[in-house]
Amino acid sequence: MSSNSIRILAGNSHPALAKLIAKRLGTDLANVTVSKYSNQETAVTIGESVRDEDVYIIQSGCGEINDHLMELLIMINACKTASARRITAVLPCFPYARQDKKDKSRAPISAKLVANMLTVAGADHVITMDLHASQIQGFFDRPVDNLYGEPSVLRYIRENIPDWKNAIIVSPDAGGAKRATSIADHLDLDFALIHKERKKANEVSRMVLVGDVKDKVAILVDDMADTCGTLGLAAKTLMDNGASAVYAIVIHGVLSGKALDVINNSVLTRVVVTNTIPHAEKKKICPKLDTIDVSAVLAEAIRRTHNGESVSYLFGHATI
Amino acid sequence: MRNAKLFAGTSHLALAQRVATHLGVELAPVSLRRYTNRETTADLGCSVRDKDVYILQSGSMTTNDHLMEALIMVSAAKLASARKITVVMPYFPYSKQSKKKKRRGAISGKLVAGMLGVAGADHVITMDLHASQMSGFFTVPVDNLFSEPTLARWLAEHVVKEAGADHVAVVAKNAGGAKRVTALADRLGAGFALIHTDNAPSTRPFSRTPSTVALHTLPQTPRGPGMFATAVSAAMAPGSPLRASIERAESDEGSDGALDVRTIVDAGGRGKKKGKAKKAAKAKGADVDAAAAPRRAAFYVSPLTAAQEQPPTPEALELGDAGTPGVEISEVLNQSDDDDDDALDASRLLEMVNTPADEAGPSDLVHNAEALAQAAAGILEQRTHRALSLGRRPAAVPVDTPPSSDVPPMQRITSGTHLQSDPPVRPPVAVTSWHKKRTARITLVGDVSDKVVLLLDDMIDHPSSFLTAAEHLMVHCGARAVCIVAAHGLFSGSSLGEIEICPYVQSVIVTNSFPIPDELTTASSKLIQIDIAPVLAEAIRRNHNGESISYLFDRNPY
Repeated sequence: MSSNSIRILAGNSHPALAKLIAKRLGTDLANVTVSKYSNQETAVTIGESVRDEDVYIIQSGCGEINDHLMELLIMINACKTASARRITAVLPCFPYARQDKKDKSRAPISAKLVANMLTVAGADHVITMDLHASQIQGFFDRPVDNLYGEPSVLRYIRENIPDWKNAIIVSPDAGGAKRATSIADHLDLDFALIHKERKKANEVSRMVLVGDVKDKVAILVDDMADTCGTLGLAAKTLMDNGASAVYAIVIHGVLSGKALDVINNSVLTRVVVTNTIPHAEKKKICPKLDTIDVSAVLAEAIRRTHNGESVSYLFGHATI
Repeated sequence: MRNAKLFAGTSHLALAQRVATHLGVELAPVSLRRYTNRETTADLGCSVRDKDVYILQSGSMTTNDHLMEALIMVSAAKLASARKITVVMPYFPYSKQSKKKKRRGAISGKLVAGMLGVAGADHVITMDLHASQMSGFFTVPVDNLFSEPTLARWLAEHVVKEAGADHVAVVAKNAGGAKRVTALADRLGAGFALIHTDNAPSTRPFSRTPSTVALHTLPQTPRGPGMFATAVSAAMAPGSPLRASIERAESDEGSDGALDVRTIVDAGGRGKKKGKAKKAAKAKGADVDAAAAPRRAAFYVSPLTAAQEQPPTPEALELGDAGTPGVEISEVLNQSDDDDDDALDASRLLEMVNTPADEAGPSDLVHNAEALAQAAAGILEQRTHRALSLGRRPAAVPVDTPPSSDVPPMQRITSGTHLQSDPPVRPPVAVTSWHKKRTARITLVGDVSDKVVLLLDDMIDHPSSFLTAAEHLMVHCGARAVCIVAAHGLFSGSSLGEIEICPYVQSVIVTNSFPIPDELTTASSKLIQIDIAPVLAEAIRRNHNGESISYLFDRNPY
C-alpha cells in the first residue's frame, strides 16, 4: 500500500530549498517538469501518479514572481485534476504579501487576490512563513499555517554573534517594533526603534532613533529586506549614535535592485537572511551575506501536517 | 440625500441621530423587536425598493444581539428590493480577533465580514479597524475611516496649544501601537516614545494601580459584613448608576423595542446637560465631591464581587446575572492589546477567583474599602483645586506620596520611587504587583520628562495596561501629565471607575463610536468624548453621491 504518502513537488523558484526539505523528509522530489511554451505560457507535466496522495508543492515568491505564481497555480490545478487527496501549497515567502491593505486610496489588496487564486486553483492547505501581516491568514477560508523564523533567528544570534549579550535589538521602522521586542524579550536584551518618515515607497527621507545604542552591538531585525535602502540608512544612523557594530537579520531577503551595492558600501558588519528566497549567487557578490537555514522548520511542518500532529510546537522551538 | 434611507439599529441611537442631523435627514422608521424566546426581528417601516439603504449599527456591550440585529436588517432590506445596502459600523465588532493568535485561534473578524456579505451588504463603512488588513476579509468594498484627523484636531487645539508641541509626547503602551503613535506624533509635531513591557511568560507584566489593588482584593473576602455589604447595597440603591444601567438593560429586553424617537432626542440633549452638571459640581467644590464619593466608591464595585457574595441577596443575584458573564469575558479578552496574552489572562482570571481568602482578611477588606473611599475623595478634592492644568504639572497628582499610605499593596508599588532627572532611556523598572509572585519589567524607550503624555491606542476597554503605563510614566519618567487617547472607548465593567480613581491619569479622550451608557459618562469626570458623527455623515454623503472618500483620511470634514 503506497496510498497517501507524502509527495513533494517543486516549482522553479527555489529548487535548492525544495531539495533540502525533501532530503530532511527522507524522500525524493517528485518527477515534475515545469517549462514554458514558446509563447511564454507555463507548461506543467506531473511525471508520476499523485492519486490519493498527500501532495506538498513548494514554491517561494521571488524572482520572476508572476511566472512562479502561475507555475504554482497550474501545478496545484494539475494535482487536483489528477485526484490528489490533499494539496498543500508551501510558500516560504508569500508573494504579494506587502499588498495586504488599502494603505492609500484605491490601493488593491493583492494578497487577498493571491489567496483567492490559490483557493480556486484547488489548494486545500497553505504553509507559509512570517507573513508580512498575520491577518493574511484571514484572507483564506482554508487552514493556513504561518510558521515563524524567530526561533531560528534567536539561535543564530546566540551562536553566531560574538558579544550578543551586549547587543541591542533595533527595529528599523515602527511597524516592526513588535517583532523586535519579541526577540529582545527572548534574549533579555534592550531594544530601540528607528522612525523613518517615508515619502515614497522605497525612499526614506529622515530617520529618528529612539533608544540608546551607545557602545552596543546593534542588531537590526525586520521581516523583509528589498532594496536595503532602509537598512543602510538605519545602520548609518546607529553608527552615528555610537553603536559599536551593526548586524541586520531579515527573514525574507528579497535583495533586489541595488541592494547588494548598498550592503557592500554600508557600515553593516553582516546581513543575515533565511533561505526562504534563493541568494546563493548574491553571496558571491556580497561577502557580508549570511544564511539561516529554515528548511528544517518547513520540513518538520510538512511532516507534522501529514501525520496530523500539532504544528504550534514549531512556533516557539527551532528544529535541528 | 435623494433615494436614500438611513436606518439605525439599537446599539448607538445617539450617534445615529447625530449622523442623521448632519445629513439633514430623518432616521427611517424601523421596528426592532424581540420575541419572547429572544429572537430578534426587524420590520422596516417604509419602502426601500430601489433605494440606497444605509444601516448604522456599532458594536456594543451586547455585541451578538446587535450584530444579529444588523444582519437581520440587512437581510430585510435585501428582500425588500433595496438597490444597494451599506452597513455603517463605526466600531466593527470582533475586530480584535483579526488573526490566529499563535495557535488554534479563530479569525472571528473574518467570520463577521463573511456574515455581512452573506446577509446581503453591498458596502461597509467602518472606522479605525484594529488591523487595516481586515478590509481584505470582505468580498465587498470597505471604507475604513480614520478618527485620527478628528482626534488630532482636538488635541492640537486643547493639549498641544496649551503645553506647546515641544512639551507633548505621544506614547505607545506596547510595540504593536508604534506605527499609530508615530503617525499622530508627526501630525501634531510632537515627540514620541514607546513603552516596552517584558513579555516573557515567567514575568508576565502585571501591575495594578493602587486603586485596582483595592478593587481586586475585595471579591476575595468571604462574605464580609460591613463596608462591602453596604457598598453593594449602595450600588444597588434606587437611582444609582449601576442600578439604573441594569434596569435599563432589563427594560431593553422587556420592551417591544420599537424605536422611540423622543428618547433619541432626549439622549442628544442629555449630553449638554451633563456638561453643565459637571461645571456646577466643580463650582461647588470639595463638599459636593466629598458627598459624591461614597456613591462613586459604590459604583466601582466590580460585578464579580456580587456574584461571589453568598448567600446572595435578590439584588446581588440580579447584579450577578447582569454582570458576571460580561465581566468574565472582558477580563479574558480585553487585556490583550499585546495580542498574545489571552491564555495568560484567562489563567489570571482563574487565579483571581481561586485566591484563598486568607490573603485578604476582613481587616484588609475594611482597610481597602476605606482606602478606596479615601482615595476617591482625595482625588476628587484635588481635582477641584486643579484648574485646567495641562499647561503645568498638576500639583494635585501625588507622585511621591501614595494616595493613602496605610495599605500595604500600595506601599509595595510606590515605595522606592522618586522623581529624578531623566536620561533618554531608562533602565527597566521592576514593578511588584499586588500578587507577590508577579513582577513586570517596564521600560520606556524615548523621553517624556516634563511633557504632557498622550498615551495612544486604537481602543481602550479594560484600562489596567494603560494605568500601569501611566503610573510608570508619572512616577518613574517624570511626565507632566498623562492623557489616554483612543479611537474606540469600550470601558466594560468598572473600567471608567478604575480610571477615575487612578491618580496618574488626567483625562481619557475617545470618540463616541462605541455606545457608553450616559450614567457612566456622567459619573466620570475624566472622560472626554469627541464626536465623529460628522466624519461618518460625510462618508455616507460622499458615498451616496459617488464622490471620493479618501479626502477624509487626513482631513476633517468640517
